[in-house]
Amino acid sequence: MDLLLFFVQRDELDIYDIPIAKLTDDFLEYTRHLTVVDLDAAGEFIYFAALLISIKVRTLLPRPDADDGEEPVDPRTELVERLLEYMRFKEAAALLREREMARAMHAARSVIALPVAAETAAGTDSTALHLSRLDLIRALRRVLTRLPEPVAHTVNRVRVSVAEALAALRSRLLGGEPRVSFQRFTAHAPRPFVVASLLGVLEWARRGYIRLAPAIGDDFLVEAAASALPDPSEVEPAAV
Amino acid sequence: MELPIAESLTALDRLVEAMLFEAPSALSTAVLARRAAQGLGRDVRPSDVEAAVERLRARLEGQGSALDVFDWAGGYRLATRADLAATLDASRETPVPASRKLSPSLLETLAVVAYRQPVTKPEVDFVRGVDSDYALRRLAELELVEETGRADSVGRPTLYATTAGFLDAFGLASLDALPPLREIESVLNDPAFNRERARLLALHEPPSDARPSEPSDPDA
Repeated sequence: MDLLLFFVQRDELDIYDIPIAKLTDDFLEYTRHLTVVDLDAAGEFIYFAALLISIKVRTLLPRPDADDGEEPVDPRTELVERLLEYMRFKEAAALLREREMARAMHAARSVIALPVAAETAAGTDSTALHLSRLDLIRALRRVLTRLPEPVAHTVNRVRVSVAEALAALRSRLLGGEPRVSFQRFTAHAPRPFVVASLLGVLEWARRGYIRLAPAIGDDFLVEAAASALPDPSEVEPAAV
Repeated sequence: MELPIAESLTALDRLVEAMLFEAPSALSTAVLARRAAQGLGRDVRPSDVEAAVERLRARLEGQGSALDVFDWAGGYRLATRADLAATLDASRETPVPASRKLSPSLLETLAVVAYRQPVTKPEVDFVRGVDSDYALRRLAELELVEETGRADSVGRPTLYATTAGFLDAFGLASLDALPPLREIESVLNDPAFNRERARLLALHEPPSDARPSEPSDPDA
């Protein structure tokens, strides 16, 4: 309820018109962070998310009893009522806090440990940290979201066979381009394609299907040596 | 000049003061009367004790004493006055932790128990929307909450209620002294919820009396 109230107040939601879907998303996002810390609490959050989803479902489904004379009840009513009830107790807690502070102004003989003294004695001296579990989750969430994601690139291995590279080259040569610049042919292509192309070109040059001519810089030109080029699939495939 | 009667009253005055000084918790009129009777070896009526306490109050007040008698937890306690709190705190060799307060979740749980008692754990859980097992156990350890029996409902769940220690720790004379829980309408009157108020009331009540104040309020 605390988190629910937090969302309602943070986003200044109209308590009558709670955007269930958005709240559910918020809840589930927190839950993801929470599962890291506390599975029990995560269970509670999931329960609430489920509750929100069930409310959403009921708002979407047609109401079977819509015309039996009864006032149709907004499925969110129960949630609103619970939220209001919770707010009352949260206020009551604030009132108790005032009483507690007022009482703390008076020192009396204490043989039985005062609540506070007991807490300190138990080694759970929380000094000035009076945080709810929700505060901790919020803090954790901030930390987790601020932390840069570990740089992990998913490397998809590009497999290019020599035959595929040659097929591309062949279509270029037969497509009216007498000379093909190797650099232009492999420009912007993935590295395996470049390698496969080179292997293919060398193979075909060795077999005499193509001729290689020097070009400016690191480039060289490829031109067909025969009017018909073999089907690259004949070349034994050597995947790179 | 002093009559025996006056002498014995003084003895009662002094004994009541001594008992209050010594006691680690609040002493009720009945307990004070019984113990005074035992100590003095004669009948002491509760009204005698009450009178003695009033005289003690007046005496402490007249002396400008650091102490006063407070009505806490259904009885009387001798404790320091609030105006001394700052200097007394400052005087301590080992300072009391800045805030000796209950955590928000404990306080929230305590509030539910205090206003709903006797109450079962599932009821507390329902209001808070989270499991209150730890909070209830901790409050029981702190002797602010205790088990008072079992409900008749299915599974006979344990009933929890607040203790005298709770009243003492919060400076309450009795449970009746708890600040009243705000009514739902009052919660809605809050500026934060003003906008939604009319519509929300319309959700619960016939629309006729749902918005009497809103339009008539020139500031709205």
